[in-house]
Amino acid sequence: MKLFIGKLLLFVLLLFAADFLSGNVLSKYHLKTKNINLQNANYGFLHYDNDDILFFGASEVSHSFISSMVTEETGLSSYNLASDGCGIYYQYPLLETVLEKHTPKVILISAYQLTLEGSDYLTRIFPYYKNNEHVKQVVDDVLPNESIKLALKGYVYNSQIIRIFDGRNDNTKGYVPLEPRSDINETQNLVELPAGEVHKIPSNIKFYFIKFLESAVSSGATVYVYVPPVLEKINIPYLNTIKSITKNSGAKLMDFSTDYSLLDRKDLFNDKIHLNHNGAKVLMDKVLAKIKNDSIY
Amino acid sequence: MVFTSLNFLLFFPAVIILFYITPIKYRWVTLLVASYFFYLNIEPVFGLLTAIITLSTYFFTRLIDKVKDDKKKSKFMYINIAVVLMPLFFFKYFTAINDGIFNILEMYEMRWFLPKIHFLLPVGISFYTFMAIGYTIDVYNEEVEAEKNIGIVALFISFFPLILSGPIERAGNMIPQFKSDLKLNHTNFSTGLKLMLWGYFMKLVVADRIAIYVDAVYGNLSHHNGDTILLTSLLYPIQVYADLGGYSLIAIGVSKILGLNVMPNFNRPFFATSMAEFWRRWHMSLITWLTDYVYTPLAFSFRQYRIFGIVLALMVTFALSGIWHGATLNYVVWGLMQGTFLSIEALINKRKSKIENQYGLKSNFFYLIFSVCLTYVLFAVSLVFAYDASFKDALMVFDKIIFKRGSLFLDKTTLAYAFIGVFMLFLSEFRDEYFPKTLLFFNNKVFVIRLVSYLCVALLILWIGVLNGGQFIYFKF
Repeated sequence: MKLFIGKLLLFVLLLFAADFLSGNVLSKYHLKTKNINLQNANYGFLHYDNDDILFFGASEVSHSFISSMVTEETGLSSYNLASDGCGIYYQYPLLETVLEKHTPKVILISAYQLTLEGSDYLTRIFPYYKNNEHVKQVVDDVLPNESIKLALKGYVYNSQIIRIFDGRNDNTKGYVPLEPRSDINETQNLVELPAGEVHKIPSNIKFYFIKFLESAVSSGATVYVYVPPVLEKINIPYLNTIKSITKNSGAKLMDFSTDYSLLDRKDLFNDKIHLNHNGAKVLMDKVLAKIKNDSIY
Repeated sequence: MVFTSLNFLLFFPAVIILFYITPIKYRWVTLLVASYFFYLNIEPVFGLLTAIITLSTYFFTRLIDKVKDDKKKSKFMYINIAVVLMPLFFFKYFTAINDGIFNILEMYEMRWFLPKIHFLLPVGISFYTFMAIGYTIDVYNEEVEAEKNIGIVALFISFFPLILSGPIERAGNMIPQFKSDLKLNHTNFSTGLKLMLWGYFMKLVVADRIAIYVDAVYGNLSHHNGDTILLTSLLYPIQVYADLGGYSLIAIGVSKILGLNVMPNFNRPFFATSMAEFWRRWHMSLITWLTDYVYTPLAFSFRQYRIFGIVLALMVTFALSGIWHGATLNYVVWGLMQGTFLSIEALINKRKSKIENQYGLKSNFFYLIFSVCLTYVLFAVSLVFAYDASFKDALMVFDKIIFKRGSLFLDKTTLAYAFIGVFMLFLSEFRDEYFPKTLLFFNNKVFVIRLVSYLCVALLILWIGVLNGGQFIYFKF
């Protein structure tokens, strides 16, 4: 039994050592990653300096908001901080981190995928847990036991390994263009969503969305809540909730959910949710016109 | 408290320490206290149910043992089965039946006097109910003696590694072990830890990773095309296997560490070459239970109908198995599909064997691959009905797969992580199935190879496991 306990202790010791070593190696590669989603996170949480126009959201934003086009048109610097599959638990600490350094002129957040809260997506903010109090606050609130697991260095990069080593850097300031696709066809018609089911907003998500808007508005920035054009039928109860929260917070609504100049052109879409590069250009013209209309530039 | 929660990782070492410091004679008491603590931790009121089932089972098994009259014995057995089944029926089927009546009467603009009521299903109730029934029948059949110590009966019904999702153990195996001198030894400890490590790998790396993709697609059927749904339907059986198989390995490992041998629940089911063989390898504790207490008595009763009696017994047994899983039309269809597959095999078995022998097919590699794939696909088709969805949704799955093709929804990172897990799982099972005792890792004679293997699996769990403390699929049954 003594020999067995010795072997067991050796295993535990080696496991901690391997975890420590792998955590440090992954930390280095995570900082150098060329994966656009992780790069955006690193930029927002670590390297953000002073951009004027910032876009927050998930894939419906990362593939639609062309930062370079904003700069060309307005002369203002811009960054697309959106990250595929990330909901409000990612956006809120990111905003707070950004606001500590600089107040942008415009903050836009998508209200479409706020409810993305899978553990796989929350892991994207784990690397900043130790040094970022906003991340710590959200993680401790949403996943109370996570602080214990995050003592393990390797666990910090849980589910991120493939992303860390996958990707190419095109310096697009966060924007990820999608190619047009030929198979967006007539068979992919508007899909009826079960009312109030798919896009029901859980209370904790609503809480952080309101907090996001309150922080953004009180910073002095002009804040837009973006509802994207998607080839799905609109979930009216969801949209009404978003409208009411937006109005109460003092933010402005930028609603493209019924913009048929976009919705009727399937050639502008990559799939039901994401615009392709041509669609992104059309959308940007519309977004910039709205911003101009509000005398931002 | 689930096996994948941090609470369990604190609870189990505490149990081991308490178990170790308790005098050998009273170690079963420690296990009983730990089991009730484990179960009450989920929902205190559930403890009442296990206590009622324990009291009733103890009382009636003692009566069965005492009385000499067969009629009285049989009466006591049926009374206890009825008492034990009552909570299961109430919590599992009352809501479904009430909702069904409610909906039917509503269609005819009539009112049902009861509102729609939804009770929280006590976790594991189907499992410990079956264990209590099995014990009662075994006492009636004089296969085991009625236990005189109520504490031991209580431990048998509530034993914490098994209470939530089995394996559905037999009194004949467990009670003598609970009464024996339970000792901790390094062989059991080492074997148990290995089983637990692999169980966690199956659950966290394989099942929970596939679940991300499966839930995204099955949870949003109207958004996805046939090709994506086809891939999901093919992945789902692996998820269910890794989930319940992983749970079972952890349960068996935990028991082993405490010096108790629990029956295996799976035996590489996806290498089966027929549905009959598949069901000898899949959820073995449930199937042997159903075979012993339902199928065999039924087949005996229907023996005058010869092969059709067997078919009838199979259909009834698997329909019951479906109802055991859930009180919905989907589960009944799932059960009847299994019964149909097995009945067809029973009907053509002789002819099939003759052809296989005539053409030497049993040793033909391609025939073997074909049989394994066919068995897998048949099971996958039936499992479409076993996902938490309506009957209409299940039909939509087939409609989309056949008529509404399209490009695959590729969640690349999720699928890549899932592929790593599935590849390792199948490689290990392929080795065990066709080349046992070769290329060993966990059981290699060289200590360094064993150590490196444990480390690799543990690190993989840490790096790519879904460590969010998610539930096991079979908790809902």
